[in-house]
Amino acid sequence: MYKQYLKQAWQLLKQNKLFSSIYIIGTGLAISMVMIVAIVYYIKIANIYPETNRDRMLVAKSLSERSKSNSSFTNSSSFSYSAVKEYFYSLKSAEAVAAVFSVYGSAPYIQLSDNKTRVPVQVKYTDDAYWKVFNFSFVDGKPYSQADFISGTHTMVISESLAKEIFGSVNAVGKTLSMDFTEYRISGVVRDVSYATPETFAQAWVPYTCRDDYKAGFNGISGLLGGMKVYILCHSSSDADKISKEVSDKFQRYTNSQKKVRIELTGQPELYWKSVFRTWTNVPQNWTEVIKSYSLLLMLFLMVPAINLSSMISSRMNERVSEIGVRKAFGAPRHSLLNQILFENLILTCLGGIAGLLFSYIMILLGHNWLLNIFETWTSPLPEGVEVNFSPSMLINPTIFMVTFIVCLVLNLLSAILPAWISLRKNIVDSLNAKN
Amino acid sequence: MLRIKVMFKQILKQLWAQRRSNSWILLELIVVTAAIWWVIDPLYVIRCNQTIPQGFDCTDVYRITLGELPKKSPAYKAEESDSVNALVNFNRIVDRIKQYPGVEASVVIRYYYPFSDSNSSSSYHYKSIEANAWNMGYYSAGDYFQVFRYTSAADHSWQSLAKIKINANDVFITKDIEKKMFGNKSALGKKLTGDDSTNVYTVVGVLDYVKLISSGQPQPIIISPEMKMNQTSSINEVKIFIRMKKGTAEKPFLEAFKKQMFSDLSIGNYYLTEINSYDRIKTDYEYSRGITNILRIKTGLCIFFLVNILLGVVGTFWLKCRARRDEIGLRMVLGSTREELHKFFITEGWLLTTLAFIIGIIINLQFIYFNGFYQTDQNNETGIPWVNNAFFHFTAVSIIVYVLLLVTVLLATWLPVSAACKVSPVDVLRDE
Repeated sequence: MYKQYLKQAWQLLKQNKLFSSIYIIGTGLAISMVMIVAIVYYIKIANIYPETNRDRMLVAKSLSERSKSNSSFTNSSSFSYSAVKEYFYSLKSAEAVAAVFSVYGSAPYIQLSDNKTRVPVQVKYTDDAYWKVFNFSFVDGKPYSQADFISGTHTMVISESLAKEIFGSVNAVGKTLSMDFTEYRISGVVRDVSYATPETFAQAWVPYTCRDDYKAGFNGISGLLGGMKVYILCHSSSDADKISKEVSDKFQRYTNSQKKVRIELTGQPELYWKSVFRTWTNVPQNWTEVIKSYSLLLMLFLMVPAINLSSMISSRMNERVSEIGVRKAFGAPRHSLLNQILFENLILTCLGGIAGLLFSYIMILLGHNWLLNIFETWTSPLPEGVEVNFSPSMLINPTIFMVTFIVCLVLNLLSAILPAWISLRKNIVDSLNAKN
Repeated sequence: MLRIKVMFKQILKQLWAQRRSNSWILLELIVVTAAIWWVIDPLYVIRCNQTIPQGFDCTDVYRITLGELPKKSPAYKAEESDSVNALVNFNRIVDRIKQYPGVEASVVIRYYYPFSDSNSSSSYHYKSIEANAWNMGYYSAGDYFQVFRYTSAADHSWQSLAKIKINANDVFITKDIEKKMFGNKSALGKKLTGDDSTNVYTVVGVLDYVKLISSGQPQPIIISPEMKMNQTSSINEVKIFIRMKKGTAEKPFLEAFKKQMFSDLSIGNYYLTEINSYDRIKTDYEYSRGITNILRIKTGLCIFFLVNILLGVVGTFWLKCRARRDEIGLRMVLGSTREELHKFFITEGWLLTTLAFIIGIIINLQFIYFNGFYQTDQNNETGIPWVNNAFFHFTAVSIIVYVLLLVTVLLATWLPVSAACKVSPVDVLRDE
């Protein structure tokens, strides 16, 4: 029966080329907008190289200290080394705990041997557990060891493309290079990381113990403020709540022991996907607000085109009134007619879906340098010379296809049911009597 | 006149007769009126604010950042960074930069300048009047006003500001502070006190309004020159700004400068880390504050809505015109010209849009009542009425919305109608 519907739908599609193309463009447009949002969040949330453990990872990026007596006094920043050591490295129930030390100011330079050229590099200062928490694939060599980290040995892991740029090949292990007038020995070369995975993006990774200032921290009362972000890998995502509570309890005990200062973690450590939606580091996440604004956006993306399509469908139903009348007169039940109309439209919608998905790919590739941050209030500009690259698997994968199809179905139901129902309600005699 | 009356009567009858298919279009137009209002509102505010002059000039200006060798580096010489040599070395660097071909003016700034990474504000007092202001500063040895070209409120030129002789505790203020503290009187020579009332500042110059972000409104600023370079200040805190000769091409200049200065500016333990064009710094600053994102999202949404309407109306009217082919044929036979037919259908579109617009606006008024307009930091002393006055603001945005909708709908009706009117009345009537 559906084969018959398909044939008929195909004929209709060919018969009324203008209507079909407008319909397909209309659905495609709606679906492409939704898919841009979906792909952006897929890239931000799904397990993507080298952040393949995002689903069982907790993130803690900031804490605030507030005075217990003066309500307007607040200091907020990331964690100091002593806070990380005391409250995070000691976690027994986690699989691994990594800390990354952020350094502000201009990017360091790598000096080439001719002493004239300097290449700016994006560097991440990490510990050795970082290589366990994130799944980098090594092209050559291996990460720096725990011994290297503890002793602050000047070792470095570099990206494949940086190795090629500086040494002309990926086999760079054992060679040295000079960054900001300090020599580093290369211990490993990893596959390039995209800027689309911001927690791991860099061209070079160095133990943070190489820096003089990692222990310094910022001025504050508690000594817990500093420049470190923490990533906790849980054995499974079901452990996350327990570990998160363990951390916040520890900080709560600290608060209880103090007279002057209160520590607030505002819900951190939180699962990776939650950290993606965080706007303010020192204010708890307002989920109702997030849900409200995204559902409003989705509603606008789907409702406006849906009304549009409903209007077109209802105009077309007027044209087909007599056909429907004939089918009804020969005993077709109403639900089978409704099925047919929905099915016909689903074919058009799916064609629109394919067009929309392709269009959203084009938009994403065109806006690759800024589209990932488009929904953010606070954004950091791309470092000079850096491009955001997408790997094919970020865009083309079963999840994205599934989402596209679901969006098609929803849009189809939203737009076709009401006009179809209204026109099917007409009296057979009236329908048969209609012109055309 | 009579004809028009008849036409309207007929159109209204038609609209009513086809209320089912029209109601879809009407519903869509209402939803879009309400939605697009919220899209146009921020665009309108930002674009209006962008027309306010910045108050200074960023073109041909560059920012130079220096770094210091890490103490662990083998090249580090401790004696070069002692209290005397550090300053000598720094001044040698500034001199070398000044001598670079094409450099017109230069100034050294500690901490705060427009678009700086961090900023500071404090309150100043004159008698009982208090004014908050953003703090800016520079070392008085440099050509601050020549580099940034702030303009004087008196004659709107930067030259007159650059000529002013400066003593310790002299400050420059923007015109909004003058207005707030002194009304219509001049602030020149008046003394302001800082927060702790021990510091007394003398106003030596008044600047035109200054915007610290191009999408915002002017902000009050106090510029306090520092007389002497502080020897203890870290190299990370200071930036050197230069103005190049007019029309210096950015890319070749930056390349040439880096090539030569990477080695020439390595003096003592200092070295050149970065030189950026001030325009780029401004772009990055606005991007990092989400303004660029707002503009992109809202423009995108606006196009999305309008294209939707275009498609919806074209699609519906196309089918409608086909269904009404016999009516069109009959009208032609009865002597209607094609222009009159066009007018007939287009008036139908216009009536629909206007009706939807009125309903949409009434809905929106409720939203505005509860949520207010889109706002950037509003400055009532200096802002423009088109943004700051609620009535003007509402009217202007509504007019823009109406015009956009109308143009789209009329375009969308005109296309199918003119195609439908191409038919010969004879064919149509024969089909009957």
